[in-house]
Amino acid sequence: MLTQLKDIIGDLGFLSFEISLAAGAIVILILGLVVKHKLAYKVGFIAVLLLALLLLSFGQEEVLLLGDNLQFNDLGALLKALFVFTAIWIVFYPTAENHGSEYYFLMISMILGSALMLSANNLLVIYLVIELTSFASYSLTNFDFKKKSFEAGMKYLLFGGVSSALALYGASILYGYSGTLSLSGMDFGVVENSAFLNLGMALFIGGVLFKVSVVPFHIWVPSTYEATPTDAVAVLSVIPKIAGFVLLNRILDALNVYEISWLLNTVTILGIATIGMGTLGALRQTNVKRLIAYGAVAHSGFLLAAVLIPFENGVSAFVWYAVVYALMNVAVFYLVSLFESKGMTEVDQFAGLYKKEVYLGGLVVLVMISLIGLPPTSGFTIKLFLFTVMWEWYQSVGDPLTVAYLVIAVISVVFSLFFYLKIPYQMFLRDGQNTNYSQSSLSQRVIATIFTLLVLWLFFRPEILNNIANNIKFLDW
Amino acid sequence: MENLLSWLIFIPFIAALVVGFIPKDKSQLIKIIALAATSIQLVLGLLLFFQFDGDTKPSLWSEAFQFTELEPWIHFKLGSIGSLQVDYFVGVDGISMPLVTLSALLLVIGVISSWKLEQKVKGYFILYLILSGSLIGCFVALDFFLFYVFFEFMLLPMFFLIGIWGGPRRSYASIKFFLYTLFGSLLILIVMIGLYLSTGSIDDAGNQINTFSLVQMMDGSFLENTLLAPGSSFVLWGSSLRYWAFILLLIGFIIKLPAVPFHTWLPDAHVEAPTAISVLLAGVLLKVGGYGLFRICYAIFPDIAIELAQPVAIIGMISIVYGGMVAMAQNDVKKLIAYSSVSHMGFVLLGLAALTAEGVSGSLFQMVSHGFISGALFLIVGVIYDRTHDRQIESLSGLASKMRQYTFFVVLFFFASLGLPGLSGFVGEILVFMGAIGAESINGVIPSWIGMVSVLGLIISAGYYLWTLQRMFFGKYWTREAAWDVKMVDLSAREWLMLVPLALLTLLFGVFPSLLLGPIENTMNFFVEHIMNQGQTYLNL
Repeated sequence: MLTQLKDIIGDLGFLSFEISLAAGAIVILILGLVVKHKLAYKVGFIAVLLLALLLLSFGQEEVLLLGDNLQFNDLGALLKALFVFTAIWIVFYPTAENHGSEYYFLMISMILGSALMLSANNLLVIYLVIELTSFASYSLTNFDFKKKSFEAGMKYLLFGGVSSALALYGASILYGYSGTLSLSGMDFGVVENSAFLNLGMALFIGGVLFKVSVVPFHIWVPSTYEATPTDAVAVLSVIPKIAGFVLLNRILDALNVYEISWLLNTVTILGIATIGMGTLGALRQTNVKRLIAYGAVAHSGFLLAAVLIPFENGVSAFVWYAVVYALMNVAVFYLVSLFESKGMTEVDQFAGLYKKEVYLGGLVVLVMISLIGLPPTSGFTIKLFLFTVMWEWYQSVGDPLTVAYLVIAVISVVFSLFFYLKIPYQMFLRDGQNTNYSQSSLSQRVIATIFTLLVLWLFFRPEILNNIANNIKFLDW
Repeated sequence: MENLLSWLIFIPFIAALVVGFIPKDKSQLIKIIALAATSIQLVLGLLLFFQFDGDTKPSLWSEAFQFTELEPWIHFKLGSIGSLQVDYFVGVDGISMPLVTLSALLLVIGVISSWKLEQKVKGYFILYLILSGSLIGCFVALDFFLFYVFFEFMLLPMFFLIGIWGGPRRSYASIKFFLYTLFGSLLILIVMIGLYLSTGSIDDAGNQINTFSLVQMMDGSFLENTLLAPGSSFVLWGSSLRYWAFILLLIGFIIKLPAVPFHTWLPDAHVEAPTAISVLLAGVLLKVGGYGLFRICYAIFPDIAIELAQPVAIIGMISIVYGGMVAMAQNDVKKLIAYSSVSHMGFVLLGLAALTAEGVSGSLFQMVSHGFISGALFLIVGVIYDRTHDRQIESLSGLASKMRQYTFFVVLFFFASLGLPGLSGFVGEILVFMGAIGAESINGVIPSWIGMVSVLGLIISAGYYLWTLQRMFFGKYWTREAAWDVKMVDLSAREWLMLVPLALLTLLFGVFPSLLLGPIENTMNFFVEHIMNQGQTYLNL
């Protein structure tokens, strides 16, 4: 008993990132009671994130903590740093002016849940951290206190509730067959081919697919993105998704799905469908955030491909895609929130905007072509890497399904050109009157420029990210 | 001169940056900077032409390039893929050198032709200069990655140049242009990755070093039993992956060329684009497609080039005949010339498919001469459009009696385009026919009937040009609207300045084709030799 306690206390050192987030969340909540000044919450939020980042340790071997409930490795550390980097900018978003302390409390809770998702190694822990992330997300969706938000939040909540209930049921089946909750010890022995067990696996994996918005679990995405405050969307579209994919990979690995061809093929086909549905869905959107939401669904399909690739390069491609995807989303949602704060949410409102906002228009073009995946942006670099690894995937397994995946992915790029360019198209090619439009301020332009330059920079100097990645022993998930 | 090619690429980019800092009301200054930048490019382009050494006979592609520059760009280890290696690697051989000089010339003419532009001058010239740099970059890049980056980077400026400064249906045309060419370039991207994974070397330590170098790809340094290595065991739907890769590349580049059935974006883009952009589009951008076929499709996949010579030649033949027939049915002069471009680019395909020295040289000669002629033809249409804002053939007649100088140029370029001996169009076409008809007895890759049927194209093009001349220029002088009458003045000094150099070059290359054929001869012979020998070797694996 005492030694167990000692172990736990000893393990807590590894958990400093998570602990400081949890403590910080509570501090901010208290701060909200004491200080009424909104700036204080923002400062507090930044301070908590930076503190957590400071306490993050890199370069260690993989460890199992608290029994074997949590698994820590460098990939997790890298992605946690990425989470902080993604989230810290939201205080600069023009739509973030009026958030109370609860908002930042929820935001930190979501980051905490996602950070734990990177490490969760136990069926029950997985369920708990998914719920932690989800509940924070549900509440954030409602944070605009508008009718539309409630509708979207309710949709999100119902979908999320049902899928986590099914996942829990799946987890109970897995527990029943293996007799353990730990992913490390998952062994189904002779019953491996039982249909009921397969059902359990499918349900459990489905619960995670919901978080990463893979078809057919993506239905909540457009309306949720549309109704949620844009600064929250920037985080919501990146952090839980990346965490979910890492978790998905661990589960696929633990359940040995790479050997179960029907399940692997199903997930592969879902990935192809995700790219297809996301792209086709986006074509007809007229609302800026819904359009980008469908685009984000398509990006999930690309990320899923990297997760499914069963060798080392898949991890590299995944890390690359995750980092650049985060950068692009921060940039694009910043621009969206800039325009949103001036009342522009529909694509056709952008008509003729170049007369007032030529510079930001140029940045929008660059960020959009990065989302499409054209040079000279890092969006191209990640597509190139991913396609390279997918070629290798085909070379190593020879499965026509992998070729289909590659082909659909490539074709989707052509379609994505069509919808991502809608906004630049309206801005530059259409004529319109924006009499009420007030120009963006210098500071806003500077921030937007920084985000855009980051997106470009990784194209011209990709070895920088690669060096960081190489110093970290992330070769195993 | 050191780093000649880099200057050619980067001078316009630098100029674009400079223009970016000039206030937008100083439009005259912006135009002068653009003119200066492109003029320097022209001087460098001419320097390149005259300093190019056409006497050395290469025996490997790695010996074929001159003015080469090699700087490492992206180098790092990427898991088991090995080292990712992208270089800034540029150089020219007999295939790219004439195209670079041609581009430099047309870029200056494009600036002169945009001189009267008044709307959004700053944006226009920034995009124009970016386009200029990317175009040259595309022709000189010897690294596939670099080539691809420039290739894609042309699309965006072009999209906006057509979409913002174009005619009434500009948005439709610009999006169609973008979607078509992006689709093509993604097909190229797929093959590029496959080639990257298949090309390279093993260093002393046993590490695999993959490369994007086009030179190594052309020289055939493939890694054993990789996806696109000759004789590898990868088979998809009954054919080797090399076969599919060739087809993807072929589609990718003939969208750009364009050839039937992927040509439908071209008339739309041409009709809507402003005059200067039409000139560049016809004169240079289409050549990127042709150049890609030479450099990448054919030189890297010689085995499939031999195997598929007949279908490629037939696509060329159909383009020649069909493009000409559609041109005949047009009422809009600009559309007519656009379709005649499709027809003339068919010659490029046909000559290339023949794989004989005459055919291939003719194909390249045709690209250069079409650059002069079609550039001039679009300028000619611009002259009318500037005055009347109308391009219908029926709207005007008897111009010869009113605008004598103009009619002189029209007749000259129409005749050059329909292949009158003594003008450059004739040389390219006759060489292509010699190649295509003679191939059966030389290497037997294509039967001679394809060439013979294509001769029909000459008659058809004579038909539509002469008919247009008759309807618009001869007969009684008449304009559809009386108000145009006062505007019908003859060529201005600026228009002379644009048309005279092109006219002289058309004449010069028509009378002395060896001016161009001389410097490129060795490269062309090597190109054909390489394809026939290496192709056979690969096929026997």
